[in-house]
Amino acid sequence: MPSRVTGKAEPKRRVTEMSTTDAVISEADRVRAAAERAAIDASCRGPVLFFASSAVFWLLVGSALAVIASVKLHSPYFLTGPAELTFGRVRMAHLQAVGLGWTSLATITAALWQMCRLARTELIYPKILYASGLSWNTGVALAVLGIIFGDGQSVEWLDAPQYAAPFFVLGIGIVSAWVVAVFRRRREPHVYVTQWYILAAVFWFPWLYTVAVFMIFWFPATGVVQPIVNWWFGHNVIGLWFTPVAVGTAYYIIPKVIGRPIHSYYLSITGFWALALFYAWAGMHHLIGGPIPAWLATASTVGSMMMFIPVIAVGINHHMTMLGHFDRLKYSPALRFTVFGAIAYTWVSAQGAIESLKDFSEVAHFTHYTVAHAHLGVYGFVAMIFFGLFYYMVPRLTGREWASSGLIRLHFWCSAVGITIYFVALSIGGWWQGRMLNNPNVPFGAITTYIKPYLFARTLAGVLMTVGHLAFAALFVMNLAGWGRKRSGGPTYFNEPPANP
Amino acid sequence: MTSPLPTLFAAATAANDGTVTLTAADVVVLLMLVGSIVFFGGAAVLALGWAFRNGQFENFQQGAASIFGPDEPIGEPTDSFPGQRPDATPPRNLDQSRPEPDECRAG
Repeated sequence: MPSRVTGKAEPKRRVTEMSTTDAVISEADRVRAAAERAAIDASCRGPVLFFASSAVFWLLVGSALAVIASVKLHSPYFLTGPAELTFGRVRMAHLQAVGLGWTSLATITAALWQMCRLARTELIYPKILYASGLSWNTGVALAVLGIIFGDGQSVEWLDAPQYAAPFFVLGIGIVSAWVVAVFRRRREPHVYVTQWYILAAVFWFPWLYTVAVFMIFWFPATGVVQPIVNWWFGHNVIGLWFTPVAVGTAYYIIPKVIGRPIHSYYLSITGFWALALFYAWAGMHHLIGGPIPAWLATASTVGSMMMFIPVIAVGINHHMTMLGHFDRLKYSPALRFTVFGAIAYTWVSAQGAIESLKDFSEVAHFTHYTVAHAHLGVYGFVAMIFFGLFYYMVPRLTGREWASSGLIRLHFWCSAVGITIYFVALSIGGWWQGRMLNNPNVPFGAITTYIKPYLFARTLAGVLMTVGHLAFAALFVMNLAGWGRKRSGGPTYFNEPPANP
Repeated sequence: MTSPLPTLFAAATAANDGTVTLTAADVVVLLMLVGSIVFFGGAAVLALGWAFRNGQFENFQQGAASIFGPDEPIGEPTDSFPGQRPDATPPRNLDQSRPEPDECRAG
């Protein structure tokens, strides 16, 4: 395969011949490698920034919808006039805007950029990816607007109107094909653990989505099979779509930022295969206590508990890699967000396994406790890692540094404090809500009154996170507009690194 | 070519003594289930087999270092707040005084 940088054919090598670990690095090697990395970044700049920009747009839309929905929970007469702004519609539209809008588009962004970098190859036919992005964004717009105007489906995570689905299928189909195409053209012989995660995610998600839509809408299964398929999809969209790419991103960002290989590569591979083996079982714990076969919920609880294996593996690995380097959190915005997300991953996954136990579910199920858990996963873990990725990736693509350290810090602290308040308030309030719901002597009205302060805290947290998102969006727009200081030497470094130690 | 669905219906109905009649939706569910098992399980087995044959699991230490390169070598931090530049102290798992395996030299 000819290299764009050298113009010479570069045969694939076995992993034992890699030059990246040579003891002495010449200046010529450094320049050549930097040029190669810059060429790779340049090849995927357009489509990756298109996906990233639309992700940021949907993050703002989703945040606005979230705050409206949250206020309605403690102030039910807020915006009750138009049917379009009733809680049921706004909450569903929020889920679609942040789930299929922000998070999925950020997942695609992460998958495309990291696959190009890790495969050490340029993106081919980038213009077709614009069509994919357009298709996906059309799907999200139809989903959000369709729900607002009354076409929503009462299937959680698949709330979008049926006419939105083909756009998602087309969009993800193209992305998956392109990720595989980049992988097949790779110049780097070793398949890094992040690539395993990305390849698995782009393989799993199209199948998950198509089967779920097929069995619930296009050729509906009857009876209890529908909720089973619903939660098979709903849980796996987090575990087999967002999680693999987010964990893979942490496995790339943390070592790159601190300049240290991951603590145990063996553990990272073990963690990947354990996730692949056990996660798909776990979705049925959402239906514990529901009218499904008991063995199905039990098998799901077993699968959930087995998830301790990949979670412990990843947790140990991330912590041991960072050990002795926590001072770097002062310097790197990317690291700060990513490490927060990695810690949240360990916490939320362990919590999820415990939540799958039937005794625990007797209290926590159908309460705000589950809402807190879901937000810690999708925001505290996934979104924070993707924020970290954006802070690392965007300057390398645009050739501009971030315009303001202050706005980055504002974003971090608003997001970190916001999700912490959200999680703590709803976990405590939700747990006692569950205890009271199980007590027939407690009137329902008393439970509603008791939970109100916790719902106020939820709104406060939502406002904080939204302020952070506004700062993030402002930084993003400023960077695209060229307001940041130009980086010398092309889009390879955030700051020029010091001389070779 | 005739559709295999009637045969599947007949076989499944016969298997439960004819007491329960399978619907088309039931057959779709079964096909999806079997298809998923074959699809995901087969893909995982193929991927694992390929990885072993290709030597992906032969040298984990070197695999961990594959994301670094001459322009962004081990030991150099690559991210900081605008205007800040962290020191480039060697990471602690790269003690230069300690002899390393032949295939795990870090730049």
